[in-house]
Amino acid sequence: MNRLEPLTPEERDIYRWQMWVSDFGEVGQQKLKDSSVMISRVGGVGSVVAYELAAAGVGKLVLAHAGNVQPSDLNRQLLMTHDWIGKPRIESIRRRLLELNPRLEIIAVGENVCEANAAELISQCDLVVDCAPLFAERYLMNEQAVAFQKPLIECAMYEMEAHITTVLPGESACLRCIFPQAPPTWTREFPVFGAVSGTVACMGAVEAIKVLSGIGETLSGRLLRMDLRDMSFQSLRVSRRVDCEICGSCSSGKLN
Amino acid sequence: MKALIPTALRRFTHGNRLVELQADNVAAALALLTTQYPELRPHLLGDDGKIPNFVNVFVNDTNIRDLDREATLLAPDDELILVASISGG
Repeated sequence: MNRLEPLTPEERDIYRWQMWVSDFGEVGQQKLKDSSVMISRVGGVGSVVAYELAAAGVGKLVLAHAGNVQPSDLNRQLLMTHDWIGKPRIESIRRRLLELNPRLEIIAVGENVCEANAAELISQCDLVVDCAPLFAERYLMNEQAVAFQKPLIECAMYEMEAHITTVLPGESACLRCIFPQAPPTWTREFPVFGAVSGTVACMGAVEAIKVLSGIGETLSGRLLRMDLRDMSFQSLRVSRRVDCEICGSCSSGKLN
Repeated sequence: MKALIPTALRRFTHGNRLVELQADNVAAALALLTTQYPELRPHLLGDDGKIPNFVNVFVNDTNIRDLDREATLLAPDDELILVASISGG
């Protein structure tokens, strides 16, 4: 986190209502402005995470998402628009975020996370929000977040169930500690309402705001499982594996 | 006690979200569950009879990995929460 510019009068006006949060205030707002967050992908979950963080005044977003807008994106990927069908998703994402917050710095990459780009993407940010639909991408982000000692928010959903946890490398369970192996039956396409992916996305954005500004208690060491079909929520304790191939030998690391 | 079935596996339990079981420990509960719903077995138990790494089992809020694993004892009012890894984004 690098101190950039102090809040402008315009920003003080825009963020006035959230600066009324007593333990957040102007100091918290300045921390968000000085922060950078990497999000991938920027679809059903990631688009809402990005939109909320852009609205909250995070200074810089590093975004990775490949492909062109499809009609079937439009039930949940709220940064895609009907008039953009057939055009690059990442440009729709950039355009919609800047409409909301023209002060936002965006590094937009029209690729999904892969072996070739994971380290470079994650090295540019203070915090990662993992919203990928494939375990291979999730495990790559987890590995690089641990390697660079960057906090990682894991948001995932299926049908009307969602999971979220916060990984503080060296302090709390990483994704590989919780799920060392991907289920062999998982496929890229899954049942989803936008209201469900958006729910866990808003929670992910809240976790990011808390970690970056230092307020509240995060979900580190806990997996919040929710079933929106009956609105049941369980906060489950998750612990590090000493034999974890990713974070087993990792020492404590925090945001600067 | 009751077992909470994750959404991703409910197609193997006729859509049932909660299953009532009478078992003294986790191994017995999973054996009963997979006997009642045989299609669940490959998703909850490996060929070696162990719980695979893509499923977590909690007794109330505690992972059985931090208790006595499959030998963890169960009380009648305990909740056995099965958590299957999901990756929808």
